[in-house]
Amino acid sequence: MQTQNPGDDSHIPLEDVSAAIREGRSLRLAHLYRIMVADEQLNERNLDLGDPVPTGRQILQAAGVRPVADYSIYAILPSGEFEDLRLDETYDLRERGAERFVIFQTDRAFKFTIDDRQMEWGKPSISGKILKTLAGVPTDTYDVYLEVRGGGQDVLIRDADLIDLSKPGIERFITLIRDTTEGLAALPEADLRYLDSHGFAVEVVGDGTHTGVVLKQMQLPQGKFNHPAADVLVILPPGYPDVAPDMFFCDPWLTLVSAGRYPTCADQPHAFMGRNWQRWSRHNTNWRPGVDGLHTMIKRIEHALAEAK
Amino acid sequence: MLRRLGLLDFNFLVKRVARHPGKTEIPAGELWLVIDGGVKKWACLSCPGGCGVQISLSLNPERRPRWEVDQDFWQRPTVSPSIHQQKMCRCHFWIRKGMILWSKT
Ligand SMILES: [Zn+2]
Repeated sequence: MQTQNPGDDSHIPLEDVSAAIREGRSLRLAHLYRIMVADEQLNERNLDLGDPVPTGRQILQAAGVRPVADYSIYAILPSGEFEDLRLDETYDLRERGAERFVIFQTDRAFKFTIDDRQMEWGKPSISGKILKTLAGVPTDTYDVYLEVRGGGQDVLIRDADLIDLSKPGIERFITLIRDTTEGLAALPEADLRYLDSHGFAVEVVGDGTHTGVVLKQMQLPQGKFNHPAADVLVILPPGYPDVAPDMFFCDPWLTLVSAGRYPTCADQPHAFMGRNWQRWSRHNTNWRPGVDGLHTMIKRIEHALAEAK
Repeated sequence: MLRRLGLLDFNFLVKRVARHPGKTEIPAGELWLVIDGGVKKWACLSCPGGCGVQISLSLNPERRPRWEVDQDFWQRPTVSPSIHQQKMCRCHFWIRKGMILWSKT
């Protein structure tokens, strides 16, 4: 506990501990320090303390609970962990990075399951971080959800979120590894329908920046090229399908059987996803956003292959 | 039956459940669609890429990542967008009409 000098001008009137933590700065000298205290229903309110190093008892007294000895107080650390404050133990607000506290009577047990294991918890509130810890999963690579029955989405509980275990329906938690993402190329539905219904075998590839659609073994005009079929790559630009794909690419490289050479404007290489593609420079000036898609592009490719000289 | 007759081809069929399976192992070939109170919440399957880890796809439209699952008359699911595993076997695939389409990303 510290003595204060109210007449000292170096003290500001009120220091908001949560603001200081948010701004990543240390506490300024102040006449009052504002913390957040939650009750058993997790109703939070501000509490202004004269001492930046209060005891548990001082906080309980300031919160107005009686008799103090029947209550417990926990600091909620930024990580979501609870730290038990004993009544006569001091807690240095200036060092700990905690501005939230929760107060409750302790002699109750709350039952729930995590990953279908029965758990009991002696406090009515619990954080996402503690739930993960109880489940035995790493907190940084797993998410924990509260199951909501009868017509609501399951609720993601972040590490520092607090759940009130005394509410009805708080019964089952599940942890899930955070491992799955949406694929790079969420191809528009119209493209997928077109590819499906026209029997194209397709591979969607990406190098992290560009997304490509490979039409596998596309049939070529009969007798025209040195191969009967080739893989054809279309690279989707950012903004597709509002923005047009430009050129297309073939592998293996195609030569005209009649002339024994590459077709016009199709003699440059382009490396993509470890393959050396033959670049067909065929530009697209009439793209209609919202109308055109892979079906348009495939029509253009078929046309370009048929007309190649 | 239809599959045995060669009339219906699929890698996954939808099975509707009311609750998330938790750590329950999902048999290969099944996609468990968690629907409770009319709300589509999750699509769960075992990873077909070889590692077998349980994949839970969030169907909550308010969150990312999120997916949509439709099913046809034969209970064959179509999931969009694609599913990309970042850690275990790192596979990337689509499910269209119950079939897996592999993507080489
Ligand atoms: Zn896998």
